[in-house]
Amino acid sequence: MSFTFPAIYNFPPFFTQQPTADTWSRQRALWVQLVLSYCASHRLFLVDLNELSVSPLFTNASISRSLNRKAIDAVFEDIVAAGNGEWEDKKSRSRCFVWWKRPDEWAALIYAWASDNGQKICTVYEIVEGDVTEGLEFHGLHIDAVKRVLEVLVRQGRGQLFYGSSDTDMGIKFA
Amino acid sequence: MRKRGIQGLTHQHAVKSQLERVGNELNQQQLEQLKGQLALFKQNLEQFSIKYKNEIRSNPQFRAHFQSMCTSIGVDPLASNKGFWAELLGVGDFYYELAVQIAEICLATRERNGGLIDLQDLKGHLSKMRGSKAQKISDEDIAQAVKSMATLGSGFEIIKFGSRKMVQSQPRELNTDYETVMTVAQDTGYITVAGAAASLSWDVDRVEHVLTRLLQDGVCWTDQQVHPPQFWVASFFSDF
Repeated sequence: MSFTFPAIYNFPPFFTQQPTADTWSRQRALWVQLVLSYCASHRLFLVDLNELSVSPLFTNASISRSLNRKAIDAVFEDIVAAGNGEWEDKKSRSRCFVWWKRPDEWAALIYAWASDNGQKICTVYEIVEGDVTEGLEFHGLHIDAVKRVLEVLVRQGRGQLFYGSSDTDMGIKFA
Repeated sequence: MRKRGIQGLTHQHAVKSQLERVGNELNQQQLEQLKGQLALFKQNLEQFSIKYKNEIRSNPQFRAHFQSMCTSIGVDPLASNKGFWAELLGVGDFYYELAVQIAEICLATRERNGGLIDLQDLKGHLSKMRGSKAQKISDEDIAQAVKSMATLGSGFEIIKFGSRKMVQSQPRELNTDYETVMTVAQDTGYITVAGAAASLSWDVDRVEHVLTRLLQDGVCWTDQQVHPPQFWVASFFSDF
């Protein structure tokens, strides 16, 4: 899958935290946009910042610039604050769900699919890995991410969770 | 043969006043003629502008020529949406519209460029905003629209840095130091403190002072992953 980086990715100072507070906040907003579109394009749902920080997202090899970890952390704080991310590990803050579609958007997609296809009961495995959802946008959604999405449906009164012996056995009864 | 005495003086006086009369008549005639020519010119200009109405609206180069022709005889058909020129051509709103669009783009991009946008970038944004069916916009059109905004005291202005033209939307006392430093930056897009000091024969302090201010205004971004650190003019980086 090819991802086209925005032009600012080739602007060397983009990789240095700007000393002026206003500029830095604009810079973070641009990084947030980039992270979300990068993750959407690569269909990344749960990212490990240790891995991501050395990926092309934060390192532009062609101009030999990379964003340092402190700045990356700040960008992710913004992503989480905006509701586009959620720490998997709140304490160490190294693994983060990236909601390039928010949980309620995913929930709406899954619910629409279930109603359109008369699906009453599905396991998590069927939803994200099953043949029936092949080619759909939420196919391949991270198993831990989809659990959070299904919880949204429960809160909306659109489903009820049931638990099996393992994570993938877990499922939802659509209402 | 020359006449002498009283008779001679009287004659000279008569000749002089006759010459004056003839001179006045000539002046008067010339004035009438000029007035007539000007009226004819205006009339022709009207006919011309009606005939080429579409051309004026759609061709930026043509529009610029027409505009300068009109300015030279003291009429400004495109600058106002009142009066019969506007009714005649239906172009009065053109610069008004353009000015509003320019203002919108400047405000929308101010966050990124600190209120300075390259004229060419602005043109790109404008054509995107106006769509493919709209009239093409020339540099002169933008200059005209910006000029019309300047009378509002809104701080809109076109500034030149060397060969580069920028539209400034935020009043900034760009004293010549700022301009000078940015002119040095315009070829490569960035400068270093030492580099600028050397090429301008300035104190390092003077350059640093200017750069600090440009950083504060968001006009410059710094790249600290290189030694010595570089200072980039955000708006010189197109497609920012």
